[in-house]
Amino acid sequence: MNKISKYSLALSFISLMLFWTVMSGFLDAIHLSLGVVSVISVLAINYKMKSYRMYEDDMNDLKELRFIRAVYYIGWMIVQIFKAGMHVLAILFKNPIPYNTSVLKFRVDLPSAHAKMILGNSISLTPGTVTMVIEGDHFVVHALDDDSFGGIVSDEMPREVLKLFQKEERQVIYDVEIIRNEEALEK
Amino acid sequence: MTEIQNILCILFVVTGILFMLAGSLGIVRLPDFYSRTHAAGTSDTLGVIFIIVGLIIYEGFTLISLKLLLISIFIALANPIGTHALTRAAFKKGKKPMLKNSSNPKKGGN
Repeated sequence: MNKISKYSLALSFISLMLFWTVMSGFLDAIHLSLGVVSVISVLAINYKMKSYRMYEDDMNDLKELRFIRAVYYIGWMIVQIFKAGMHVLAILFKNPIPYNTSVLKFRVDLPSAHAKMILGNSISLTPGTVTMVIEGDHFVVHALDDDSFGGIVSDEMPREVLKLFQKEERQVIYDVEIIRNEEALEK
Repeated sequence: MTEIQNILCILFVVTGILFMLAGSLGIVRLPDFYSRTHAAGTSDTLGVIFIIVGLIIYEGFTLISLKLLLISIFIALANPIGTHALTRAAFKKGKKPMLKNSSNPKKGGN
């Protein structure tokens, strides 16, 4: 159990309150005070769950995240998703369907569990690649064809994720292993 | 102004429907579980997001479009996690993906 910082509580309060205002659309005193009551009760119910840490380097606030970089990252991600989506669309409409899947194994060097979560989520969100397993620093990714995992193998996407948390640039992924037959998958 | 809005909206919604169609076709056409999750998980996510963006453009800048934006953000956050949970469970259970150079391509990765 860890104590939650005031900064983290304030951040959750503000975001939940914004959510309430957008959902209700009323800005008068009664609705807003009802919102404050419900947000505080939600925070009270979730207090224990929020103070539990799943990982050692778990953080309950976003202090390490560089917000300006995050805005750029979202835009970059949308472009990547669109490009990959067009590619997958072309594959799925081809006749006969080209079947060229492979499994990727690699090790990452990222600062926190959150960075790994963002990388895994970004890989799954990009059409053509799905994160299968994340264990410690090891990732297993299933790719629909060779062009789909180009952005991962060339270290482009992992570097963007690293830039969300740190200023310095360095190599992020190591030991890339592309598996194309079932016998090699069993190690 | 409304003309441009309508044209953009139609473009986005049609693209979204194309992605949804590709996802549905992919579920039927692709041969094994893992490649089907590509079609079911990721193409569908993109399709739904495109349709919602089209609706946001149709609606203009109002409270409803803000709500639609929130919906698309939640879909973009939650859908990859669902896909990951599915593939992770299958992989942990020992389901082998059918790969290009597999010895028995007809069998379908088991």
